[in-house]
Amino acid sequence: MSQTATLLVIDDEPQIRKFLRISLASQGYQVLEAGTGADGLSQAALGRPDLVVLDLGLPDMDGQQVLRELREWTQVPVLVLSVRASEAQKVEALDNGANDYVTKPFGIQEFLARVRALLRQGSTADAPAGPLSIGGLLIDLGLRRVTLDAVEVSLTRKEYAVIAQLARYPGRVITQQQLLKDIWGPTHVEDSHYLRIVVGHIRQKLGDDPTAPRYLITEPGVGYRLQAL
Amino acid sequence: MSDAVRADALLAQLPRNGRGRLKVFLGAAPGVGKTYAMLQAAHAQVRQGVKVLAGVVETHGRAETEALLGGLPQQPLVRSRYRGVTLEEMDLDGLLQAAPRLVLVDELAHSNAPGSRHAKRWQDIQELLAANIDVYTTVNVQHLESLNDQVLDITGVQVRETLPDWVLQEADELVLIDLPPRELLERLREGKVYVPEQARAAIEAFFTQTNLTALRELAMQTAAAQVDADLAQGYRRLGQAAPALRGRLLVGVDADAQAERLVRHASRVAERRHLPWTLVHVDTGKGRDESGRQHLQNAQLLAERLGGEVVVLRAAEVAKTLIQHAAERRASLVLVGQSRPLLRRRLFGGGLGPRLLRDTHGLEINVLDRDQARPLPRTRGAGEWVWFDYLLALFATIAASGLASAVASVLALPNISLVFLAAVLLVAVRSSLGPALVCAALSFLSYDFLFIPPTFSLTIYREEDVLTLLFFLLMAALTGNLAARQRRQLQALRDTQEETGELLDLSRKLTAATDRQAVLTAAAQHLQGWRDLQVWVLERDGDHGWKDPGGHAVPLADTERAAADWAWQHDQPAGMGTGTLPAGRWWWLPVSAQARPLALLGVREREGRPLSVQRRRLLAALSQPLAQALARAQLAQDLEAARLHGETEQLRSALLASVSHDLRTPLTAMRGGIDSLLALGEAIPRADREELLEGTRDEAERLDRYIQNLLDMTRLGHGALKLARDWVAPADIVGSALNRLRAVLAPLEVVVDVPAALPLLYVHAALIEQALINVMENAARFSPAHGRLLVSAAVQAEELCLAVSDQGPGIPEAERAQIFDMFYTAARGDRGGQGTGLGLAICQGMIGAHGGRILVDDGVDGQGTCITLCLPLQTQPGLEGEALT
Repeated sequence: MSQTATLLVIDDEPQIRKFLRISLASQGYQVLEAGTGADGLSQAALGRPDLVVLDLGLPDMDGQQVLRELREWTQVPVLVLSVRASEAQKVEALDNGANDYVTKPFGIQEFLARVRALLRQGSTADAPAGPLSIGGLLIDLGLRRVTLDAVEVSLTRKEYAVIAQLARYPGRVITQQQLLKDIWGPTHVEDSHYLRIVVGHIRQKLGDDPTAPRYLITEPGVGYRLQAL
Repeated sequence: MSDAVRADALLAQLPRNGRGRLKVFLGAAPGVGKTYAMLQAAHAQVRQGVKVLAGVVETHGRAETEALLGGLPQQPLVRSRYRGVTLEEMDLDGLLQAAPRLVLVDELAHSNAPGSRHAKRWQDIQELLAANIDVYTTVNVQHLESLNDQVLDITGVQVRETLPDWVLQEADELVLIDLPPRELLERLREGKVYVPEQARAAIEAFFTQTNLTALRELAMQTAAAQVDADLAQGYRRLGQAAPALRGRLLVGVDADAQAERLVRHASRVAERRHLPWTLVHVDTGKGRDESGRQHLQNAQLLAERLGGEVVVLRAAEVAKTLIQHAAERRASLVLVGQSRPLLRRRLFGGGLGPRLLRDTHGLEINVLDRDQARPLPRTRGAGEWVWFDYLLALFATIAASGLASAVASVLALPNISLVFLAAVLLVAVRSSLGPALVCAALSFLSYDFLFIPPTFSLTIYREEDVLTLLFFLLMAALTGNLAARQRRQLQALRDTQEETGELLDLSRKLTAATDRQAVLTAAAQHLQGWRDLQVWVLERDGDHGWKDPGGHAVPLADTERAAADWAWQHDQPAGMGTGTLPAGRWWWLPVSAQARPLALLGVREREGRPLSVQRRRLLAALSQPLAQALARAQLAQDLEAARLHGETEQLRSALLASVSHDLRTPLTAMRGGIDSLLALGEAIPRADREELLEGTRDEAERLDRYIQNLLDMTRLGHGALKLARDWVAPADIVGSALNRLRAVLAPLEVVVDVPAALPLLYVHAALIEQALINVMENAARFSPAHGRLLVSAAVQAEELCLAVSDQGPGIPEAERAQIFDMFYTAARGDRGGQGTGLGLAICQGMIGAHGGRILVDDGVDGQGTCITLCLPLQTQPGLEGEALT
């Protein structure tokens, strides 16, 4: 993993840019900074960053708009900074092509973990070739097999589809609408209870504690992610 | 003297309460020069710079009058066509819009053309006065309603255009225009008095020396009475010689042809003596025929028009009831009509008047003699019914004869009469006394003819048969009378009961209604139950429209809308059957409290007939509890608004205190920690440095939660909290809350008991999570070091309960209800530093918004506190089997 990756931070608050720059630089990343959406877009074009950290509340233009314009020409991973109690905003950002989000105020460990996960994916492109291993859990998308501590876990088709979808982007949040649409079809986007029940079953089969899950993490109001840290 | 002058001057300067002044030029007959005098007075005003506008002035082509009018600005008349005739009327709206200081309106008693806003010109004038416009007007004395009978007696002419006496009484100034009859007759001969060609003969018969003298006397009396009243009023205003109690005049009327005459007389007497007056009818439940009812109704309407009050009492004894009512109302004078000269009355008590005289003390009793009754046109419907009753009598006799013949062989001769008696009884019960007596007479003849020997002749041989027959007739009359009376009383009782029941029923329904909408809906539903009437309960929709209690706009035809609007604006009934905008088919009754209309009743007879006085009075009576209920609802709403406003104010100040105190506490800790690190740096041992930094981070997280709570509180307070419900697993909520509180819970032993197989909740997850976080944070705050915190979830009955138990000091039973009050913690003084006191209040708000509840109990083993959030469980969503496989 290259530690000389270049990151672009687009945020209008100098204090936040400063602490992100210091923390990221301490991890060996190169940091570009932009205080406005327009500046951010031009820096993204000029500097060719490996990852963009984007604040949704910008003075000159809507963060969602910046995201849409970025996505017109690049697939660079984007990590969105969002405020709490705006699940709809997070979902919209994910729909607009953001790869992940952190909620302000956030801890630096969590932030760095997200950055690492996104950079890892960026470098390995889509569809990880080998089996994915998280603790005792092993997910082999090629063989369509899930084992826990080397014992095969028997999953129904839907259960497997959910865990496979999450395993395709380990550590990344997938919106519940996306999961419902891909697995149950577009007419079932509102049937969130299917997902709740299936996730409950998966956790039971993996022996996961629903109040402190190790593998399948709930992002309240947004979706799920597969723990990959 | 000088005092009185000063007082007079002060009186003249008194504000006029926004109402114009009315000056009436009163004359005894046409031609005395009222219009001329009015115009001269108007010119005097113009010279003083007053803005005068002539509304309508009839010059009748007289040159002097026209010359005077020519010098004044005039409001053009409005023309309307009615049945092919062009009619001209005063332009009331134009006048109101022009808003001059003074308007001249000739002929106060004039009736407006059909289709005008008001039936009578005096009503137009009332509206001008209400708009703070002064009015000069003219009228001849014969038009006064209360003088109608007298004028008929004097002149033999029935005056059709009449004017309620109170209009004149309320005039601010009355000017008597007098001309001796001889001079008036002179002017008539010289052609100076306008006489329409078609009425020349009648008018010339009218203009006799005697007639004119009598009319002149009436005019003078009227003016004198007015002067008298003004004087008394003036004294009263000055606080001098105010009569202690004026008393009241009661006029007792029966349902007969004398009623209207009595009312007119009463109005006159009351006016002369400056007494308020009341028309009283005592309903004894005795039968009234249709014409009697009509007379009574006319008298009641007349009394209302003349400014009297109308009361109906139900009792058996007329005299006793009148005396009692007189005492209750502190009446000083009772006026009754002379009773019918019946033998019975002579024998038992001698009529109403003498009876009243005998039984009262200190009450003046006036008795008006009887006039030959003027027959009223009989309504055809009633006639048919009477004929039907007599036919019934005939058929009953024939049937009885047939039956008697059939049983003659079995029964003894005297007993056969019982069959006829039965027929008489039947007729009496079914109809009234008249048909019963006819039936008795017919039965008598039939019995005599068919059964008493010699049969088939009306001759009677034996004396005992004559006696039998006589007794038989007496029995028939007695029973018939008795049965008929009982039936009538029953009917009257039913009417009363219906009325009282109606009132009670409505009141009960209104009591149950709590807000304005519910009151209106209840009233509308109740009134729709009347079969003969169509009733609307309306309220204003914007500035011009009308809507029903359901909020649907009610489109009204122009005529109806004009009447409804007028009734609403003037807080008086209007529409069909009233003097105002009567062209439509609806009667509009404003429901108002404290002179403010709250709703409008629209009433229509289903058959299109005018509403009866009884119905109107019942509706007016019903409108009172309705008005009260509406006023009550309004008051409750106002109080609630005031309370909310108060609470908001309280919240605002508490919030400020909370922000300044509680939010600064974490900031102080953070700043202190960071300053120490910056200033002392390496001097602090590594372990302490880390502790300072961790403390700063924890305080920052706490600050974040406070801010979240403040935001939530604002959202709850503004009612802007919109629930975005979704299906969510309880475990997810618990997990997320635990995750966010990791730092706070770290020093405690947290035990989580959430079963895997719990039903899903249909809630706004973020809000429930925040509520749970507040409860857990609260529990952590009061827990001892390393205390145990138990978080559990379970289904109880139809609810899912999330419980948090701590091992803290617990909450005394008495305080448990208060902990959800906003800023309760803060109110506890020094311990308030621990939190904003918003947490549990927000909790309450969020759980409440989901229809749930919060319980406070002792903790596990009676130690500490257990707070339980209970959320109602929805029916679990249907699952298609393949959806999960």
